[in-house]
Amino acid sequence: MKNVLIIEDDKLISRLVQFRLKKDGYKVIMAEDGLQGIIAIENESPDLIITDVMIPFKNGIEIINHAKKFSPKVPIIVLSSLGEEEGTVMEAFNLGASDFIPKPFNPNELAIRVKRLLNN
Amino acid sequence: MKFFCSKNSALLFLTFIFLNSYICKGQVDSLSTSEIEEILILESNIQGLLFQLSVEVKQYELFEIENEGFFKNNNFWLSDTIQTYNDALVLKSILEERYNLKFHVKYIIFDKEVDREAVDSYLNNLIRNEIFIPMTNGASEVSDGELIILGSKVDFKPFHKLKLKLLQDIKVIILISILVLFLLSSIILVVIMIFIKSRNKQRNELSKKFKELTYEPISIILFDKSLEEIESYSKAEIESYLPKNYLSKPLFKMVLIQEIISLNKNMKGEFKLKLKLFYRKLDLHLFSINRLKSKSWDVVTSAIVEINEMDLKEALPEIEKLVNHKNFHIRSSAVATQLNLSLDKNLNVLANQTYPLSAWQQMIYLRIIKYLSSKDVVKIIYLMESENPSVRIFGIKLVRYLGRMDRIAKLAEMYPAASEEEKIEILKGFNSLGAQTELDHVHQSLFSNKERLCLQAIKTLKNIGDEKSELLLQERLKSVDSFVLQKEILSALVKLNKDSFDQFVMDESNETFIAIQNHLQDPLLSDV
Repeated sequence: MKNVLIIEDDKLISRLVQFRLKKDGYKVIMAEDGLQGIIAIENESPDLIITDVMIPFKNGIEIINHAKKFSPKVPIIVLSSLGEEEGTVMEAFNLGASDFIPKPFNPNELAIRVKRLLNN
Repeated sequence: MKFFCSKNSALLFLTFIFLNSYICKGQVDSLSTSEIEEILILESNIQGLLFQLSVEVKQYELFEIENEGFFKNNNFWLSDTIQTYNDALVLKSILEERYNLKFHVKYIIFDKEVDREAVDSYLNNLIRNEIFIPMTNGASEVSDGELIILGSKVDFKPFHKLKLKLLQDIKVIILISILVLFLLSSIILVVIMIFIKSRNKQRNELSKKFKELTYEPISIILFDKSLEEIESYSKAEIESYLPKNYLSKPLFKMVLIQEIISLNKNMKGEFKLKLKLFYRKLDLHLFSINRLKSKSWDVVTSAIVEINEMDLKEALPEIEKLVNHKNFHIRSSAVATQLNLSLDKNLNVLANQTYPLSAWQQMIYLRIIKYLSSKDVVKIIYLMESENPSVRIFGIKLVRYLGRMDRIAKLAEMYPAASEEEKIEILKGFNSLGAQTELDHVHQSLFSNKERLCLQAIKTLKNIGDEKSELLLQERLKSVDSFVLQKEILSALVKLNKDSFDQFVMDESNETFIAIQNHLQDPLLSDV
């Protein structure tokens, strides 16, 4: 069973994504802020990371940076609001983010992207 | 005996009269000898005061007087001490009648024989210091005066003995009262704060608990049920996914609505439709509409936001009543919702605004109007003709923001009667839309004595000016003292025609112009 780490401070969104991904047979680990996310990356060795950009303590960019140093091959999907600066998204890709999904998003679309990245 | 009683009664009456009078006077005047005499007669016992009868010694009377209990003291025969003055007088009267001798009453105060003057003084002192209160015996009726006297029989306690001197000063009393009031108010405030804090804490904890309870039902509805299935469900069937009896709790409803609204903002496609259907099936839309009647502005504002997010078009008549509400937040949200849901391309709700529009409101409305204009041509002309100056200015700005070339003529028409602020916005519009046909208006403003308007005219001419503009700018430069305007005009002249600008500066030989020319031509400083 593949591990998916969701780093998202909005509990409702993370619970919904967890519910959706569990239906596809993934084990889902959740972190509510950047620090919890970093600890989970180190301790749980996730197969895929889904992270928001604006999260407490450590932002999405710092998470990507850390994840790429710790386990470079792990795919990362960035969730972000459309209002966030284009520069942030570009920086996320430059650091090695695999995909970007703007909010508002369709959870089914997210599930498909997760499946595609994990199969690759 | 009858004689004694009637006599005593009469004396009592007299005593009452004078006692009342001296009590009323505050017990400070000395009593006369006759008054003292009356008190002595009436009182049965006066502390420290005793009486004795004396008679001069005569040999032949010796035996008989001795029988009366007298004893010899020098040349006098003395009786035993007598407790009351009245007894002494009675005995004196009897003995005088029996022996035909003259008896005298002697006064003894604390075993010391004194004269009558000392007795008067002693009694006066006792009465003045309230150590001895004259009483009356045998009074048949109780009067107020008697009650006062009886009341005074209570052991003496000085009136001011236990009182603090501080409490005699009215200012100190006021100060202490204020301090006590302040202390009480502080205590009450602290109690209220603790109460509110604990209530809020309780509410937050309950909200957290309710949030936890909503995650699963929403997830099931969104992922396990199709849109058609949700559509076919009755309210009871939808409710069966939620914890029992919780829907009757307003806080649970509010938490559920918040979660639905939050998801609605973050989800798209079919999920949005499912959320709206879920919201309606649970009659949460009625809850939101009812909250519009609340007296708290924050409740009304959040209800308006819910109506906007959930597209409750049936609530528009209620929202319309709030578009000119005195509360800024209610008014802003109501106008935004009305614009968003009514899809009114005439923008009537905005045109009829009575309150001035803030920059924040304009930003929100611009976003909605941009969305509306992507669907249909919005009639911003109604905003430009509004009676509200801030709405007119917003309308003028919209010409620029939406790139409405078709409204340049309207801007030109408005220009002569426009206020300074409106003229500045119109000039910005001409500048942005490249309205060279309206240069006459710009040239007119170039010679305005209002610096901001003149500055905007120069900036506009810098972009869309022609040869005539060059000459007018040169002419204006000669009459301008402001360095900012001089620099802006020279900058405009450089942009319009550099050769002409160089020639002009050379001809004028003005040090300031030359300095500005050097500055503008320096590649490092030209943009500073």
